[in-house]
Parts: sequence; structure tokens; C-alpha cells
Amino acid sequence: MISLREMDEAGFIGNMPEETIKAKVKEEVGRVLVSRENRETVGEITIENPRMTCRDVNVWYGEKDAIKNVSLDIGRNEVLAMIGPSGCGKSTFIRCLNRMNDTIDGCRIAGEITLDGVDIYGKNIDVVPLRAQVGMVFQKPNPFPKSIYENIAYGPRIHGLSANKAELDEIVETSLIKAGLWNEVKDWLDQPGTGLSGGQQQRLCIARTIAVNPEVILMDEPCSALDPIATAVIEDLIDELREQYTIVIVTHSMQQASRVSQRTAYFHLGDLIEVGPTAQIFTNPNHQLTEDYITGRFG
Amino acid sequence: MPRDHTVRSYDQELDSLISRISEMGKVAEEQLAKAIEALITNDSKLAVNVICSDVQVNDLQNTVDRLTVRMLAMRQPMGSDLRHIISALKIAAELERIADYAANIAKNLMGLDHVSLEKPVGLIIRMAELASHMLKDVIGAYRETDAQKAMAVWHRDEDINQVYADLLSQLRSYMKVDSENIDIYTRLIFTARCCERIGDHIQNIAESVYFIIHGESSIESPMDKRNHACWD
Repeated sequence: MISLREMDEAGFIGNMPEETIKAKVKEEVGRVLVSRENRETVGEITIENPRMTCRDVNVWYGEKDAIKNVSLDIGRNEVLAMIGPSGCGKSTFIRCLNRMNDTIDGCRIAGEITLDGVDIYGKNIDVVPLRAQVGMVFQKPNPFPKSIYENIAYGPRIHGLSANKAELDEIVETSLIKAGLWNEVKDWLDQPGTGLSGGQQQRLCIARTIAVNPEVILMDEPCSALDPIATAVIEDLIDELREQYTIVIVTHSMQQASRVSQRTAYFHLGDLIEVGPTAQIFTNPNHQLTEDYITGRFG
Repeated sequence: MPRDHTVRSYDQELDSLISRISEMGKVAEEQLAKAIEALITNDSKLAVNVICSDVQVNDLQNTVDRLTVRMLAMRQPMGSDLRHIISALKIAAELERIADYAANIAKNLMGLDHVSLEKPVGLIIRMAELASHMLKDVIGAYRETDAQKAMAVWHRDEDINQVYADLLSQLRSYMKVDSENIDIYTRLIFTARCCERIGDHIQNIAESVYFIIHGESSIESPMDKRNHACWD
């Protein structure tokens, strides 16, 4: 027979379970997401000690309003993912960050974008060094039709980053190591870069970007032409590169955004709808449009 | 209002998951009702039926488990879908435990002499009935994704706890004067404990419903602050 003491110890006798009495229940009910009609950005657009700041950025292609009043900070050593349906303005927006849109006829940009406090659209800004500081990796790997070595050496040479061949060799080696490609190509540096596999070519392009000492690396769907293995290698690389660089990645893969980024920004028809910590955006967004997009409800 | 998924089969799978949970809730509710009936009528045959039918709820839980694992792998859900699917897994586990407790109530009370125990058995029946109504309402709140309704059910557990406290104090005084029948009183305490636990599991279901809608816990605790910190 069970003694009263044993029963008491087992919790069968005595006071009520304390946790249910002590627990404070939140009484507010009926969670309301920000409505689809509301186009104000939801979430914290500012962060402490940002690498880049964007304020009231507007972009027009002719008469078409491609980006509308977007303000957003980009942090140091963070991966910021930009997601949204095609035509939402995410690629247009990252192209503003290193003035790639300057080359497009009829493209007009208003607002302010700074890198380390300096207005990158300022009068005295030379876009060539700017694009070294804010490098870009594209959707389709685009190595130069030259050797692997020359693909990397070209940038440092034109930017005058090396005094001699030994220094240039070192930059090539370091960049390929950082891009996780060195062991695969070290004996083939004189071979054409275009002979590498798609994933290797993309890492070669990342090494090429790294070689000119960037502060920010922009990636526009860097894995969309790659298989899952090459994608995993690039994603692992992005995670490593974050220690040294700021990375802004545009991706159509929400799984990729959730795997690689710390913050996510959701764009819709040129508006920055919501920005926030990646885990929050993908589990509990605050704007109905974000919720619709991440759950696959495209109206 | 949420839109339908662009991929329609995703909606069908989610609907199927919600139907399975509702079905489980209904079966668990029936099990509890039969256990109460067996208790009131002292019907051993019905008690055995409750014990044997428990397997039905276990089977439904397996179905929910399979469906959720499949959906997690194939749909890679996000946002409210993710919360729905994760919560289905948790609610199914709670319902399975509730049905287990219903079977335990039936087991504990087989062959019990009711005549001399009218008062305490009456309180146990009261607890079980309260639990039964709560269960029905919480499954309704789940089906309708109604956080307000779910929280109203959550608060009603206090009523069960109050009856439980009264019953324990009553049984304690019985045991002091009637130590010969302590076995019977122990069985009653175990049975009452089953009802009390059912109330707690229903509270957990109510919290899951709240989580599906709000994306956060309904209970404020230091843990919440830590969870937010890891997003920063």
C-alpha cells in the first residue's frame, strides 16, 4: 500500500500545482497583422553602428517607380537577406548600394545612401573604388575569359594593391583560400577560369571580389544556377565571410535566406514591407504581406 | 483574413491535419464521457470498453505524427503554417495523454463500492464533467483558431483544481478516521488526480491554440525574454 507520505511526495496530496496559480496569462487576444494596404515599413530599420545607411531611397526607371521611400541600415558582420516576389525591387535596391544602377539608361535615384558615414552618391565619389569597397557577385558566375590566376589578380592590379609579383601572388592565394577554392585550384592557376564547374566559378567570382579588400559584398541570387552541394558550399562560405565582411544577399529561396542571414527584409512592389531578425520573419512576421509570401499565399 | 495557398494541395493537407486533431479530440471526449458514465452507473463492462478503446486514440496520434513529419519535410512550412503543424504534433500528444487518463479513471473505479462513497465520487464526477466540457470547448477553439475562447478554457482549469482541493481535504479527513479503507481512498485520489491532470493537458492545448494565432506563449515567464534575446 502507498503511504500518505509517499503520495504527498509524489504530488498527489497537498496544494495545487503552483505554476498554474503563479503563471501570468497574457490577456490580450486577437493578434492583428498589419494589413495588406498599409505600406509603411514594419520592424526596426535602424541598427547600432551600421556599415551602410539608406534613407528615403527612391528609384525610377523612366516613369516607373521601382523603389519607394526605402530606409534601412545594414550592419557590420551581418548577412542581410532581401526577399520578395519578382519585380519587388530587391535587386534594384542592392544595385543602388554600389551604384550599379548608374549604368542603366533612364534610371533615376533619390535619397541618401552612406558607407561608413560617407554619401556614396556624393559629388567627389569615384565609382571604381566604390565598387571595390562594395563588391558584387551575380546570379550567373561570370569569370573573365582568362586564367584562374588572372581572374583574381586583375582587380588588385588595377587598384594598385600590390607592389610586386610576390605580393600579387599572396593576394591571389589568400583570396582563393578565403573563398574556399585554393585546395581545388592551386595546381591549375594557369588554366582558364571558365573551365571550372559552376560552383567553383561562383567561388572564383567571390575570390575576385574579396581580392580588392571590400567592406560589403552584395550577392544577387548567387546560388540560383548551382546544384544543392555547390549551394551548401557557398552558404557555408557566406557564414565564414561574415566574420570579416558585411553581406547583402538577394535570394528567391526562403530556405536559403533563413539558413544564411541574421536579418531579413521583405520587399513588395517597390516598398520595404518588413525587416527584422530572420527567425522572427520566418516564424512570426508582423505584416500580412510578409506572412502571405513566406507561407506561399500569393494573391 | 489569410488567403488560400497558391499550391492548393497544401491547403488540403492542412485541412486534413486539422480534421485529424478534431477527430482525436472527439474520440478523447467520448472516452472521457464513457469513463464518467461508467463511474456514475458503476458499469464494469463500459469501463473495460474505455480501456480497450484507448488504442483508437493512439492510432490517430500515429496518423497525425506521420502527416506532420511528411508536411515538415515536403512543404517546409513557415510562419503560421509552421506554428499550425508544430502545434498539431503537440496537441495530438496532449490528447493521447487525456485519453490515457480516461482509461485510467475507468481502471481505477472498476468494482468500487459507490454506496458509501457517494460524496467523494460525486466530486470526481464533477471534476470529470468540468474536464469534459473544457475539452469540447478547447477543440472548438482550435478548429476556429480562436485565442480568446482558448484562453477562457485555460482559466476554467481553476474550477477543477478547486474541486480537487475540496476532495483531497475531504478524503484526508476520511482517512484519518477510517484507515481500514485506505486502499479505496487511494484509488479515489488517483482517479481525482487523473481528472486534475486532464485539466492541465487541456490548458496546454489552449496554450498551443494561443501560440498558433499569436506566435508566442500565452504565459509570461523569464523564458520568454530569453527566447526573444536569441533572435537579437
